[in-house]
Amino acid sequence: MKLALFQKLTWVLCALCAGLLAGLLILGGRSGGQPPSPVAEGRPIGGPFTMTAHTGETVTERTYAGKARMVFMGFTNCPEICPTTLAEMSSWFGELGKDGDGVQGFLVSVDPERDSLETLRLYMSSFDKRIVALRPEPAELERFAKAFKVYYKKVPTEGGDYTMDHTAGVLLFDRQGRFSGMIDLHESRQVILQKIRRAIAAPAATKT
Amino acid sequence: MVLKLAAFSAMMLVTATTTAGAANDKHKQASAGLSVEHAEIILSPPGGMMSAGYLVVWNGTQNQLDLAAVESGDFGSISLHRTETSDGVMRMRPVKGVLPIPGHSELLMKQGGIHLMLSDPKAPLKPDDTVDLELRFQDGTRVTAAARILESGTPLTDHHHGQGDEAGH
Repeated sequence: MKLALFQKLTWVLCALCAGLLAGLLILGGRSGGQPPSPVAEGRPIGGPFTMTAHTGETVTERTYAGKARMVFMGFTNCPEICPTTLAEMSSWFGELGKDGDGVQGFLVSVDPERDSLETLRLYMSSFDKRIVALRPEPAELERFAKAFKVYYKKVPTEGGDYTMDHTAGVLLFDRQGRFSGMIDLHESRQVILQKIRRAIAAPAATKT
Repeated sequence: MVLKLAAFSAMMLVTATTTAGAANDKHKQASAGLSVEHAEIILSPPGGMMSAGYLVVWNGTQNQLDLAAVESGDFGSISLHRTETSDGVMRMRPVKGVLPIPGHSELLMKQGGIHLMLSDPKAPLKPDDTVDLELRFQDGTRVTAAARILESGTPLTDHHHGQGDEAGH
């Protein structure tokens, strides 16, 4: 009886060790030869998501595989920062021209409660076509915010109304999906375009 | 030298504004030394409910004036808001109470700062339309300003009191 238990335990331990070794080998192999991402030491920024695009289709991170990404967290009831940022982003696309096809712009709604697909569809009509608005389900938004290390919070105002606090900058990811930094609207246009061009120029992942 | 010139042209404009104000009997009292410039409303993109408005209010009087409200028959609601960005997070809050403008000072509204939030327009607005805004001060002073409607997403350039529009647009 006792011996049987010991044998079982030994097997379990062996299996665990083998699993760990395999895991290390896989991880080691994957990161081999590539420069570490700026946040490699901590939890990397980004990850999988499933949301509805303003065009109506369900999209995931794989929909945009091989493209650099610019992610802005916002909402349509935001009178100044959101339209300004999206208008700016449109102008970056304008300046990048054909090169801009290598990057996908995103408005991720932090207010899915009020931002219906119809509202988002209307809203996006005034910006560059390479920017897509994504509407997450509330639980998905919560998960996304954690994975992408972004902030949003519903703040009640007078008359039962509310506004949203949210991350102000634009998150930039290279073509391999690695976080390559924030774009701050106060930066010079030259610096912003340089950052985007660098993210586009990074080699795309060889395997997805 | 450049600075002196700028100051001089600013003074010229103050004079011009005052003269224009004096010509208007109705606001003769109210606008003496008090002027509103660069009143602009940036339309919300379609689907959005809120437009943002900006004013430069110059208080040329000796005394502090407290801006209490901005009203217009063309909008269902206008409120004063302040945008603040700290630690990378954007927060927008209504202005509580009044906005004090000390004597010989300007209140400069701008994107990412103090602004007007306008909602429920009474009629559809398009770029280059103008709407009348009435500024109400705590002491009862009222001043009207014609605000120009700008297309959504128009970046606003800082206009100080006395600066021409040409520089920004």
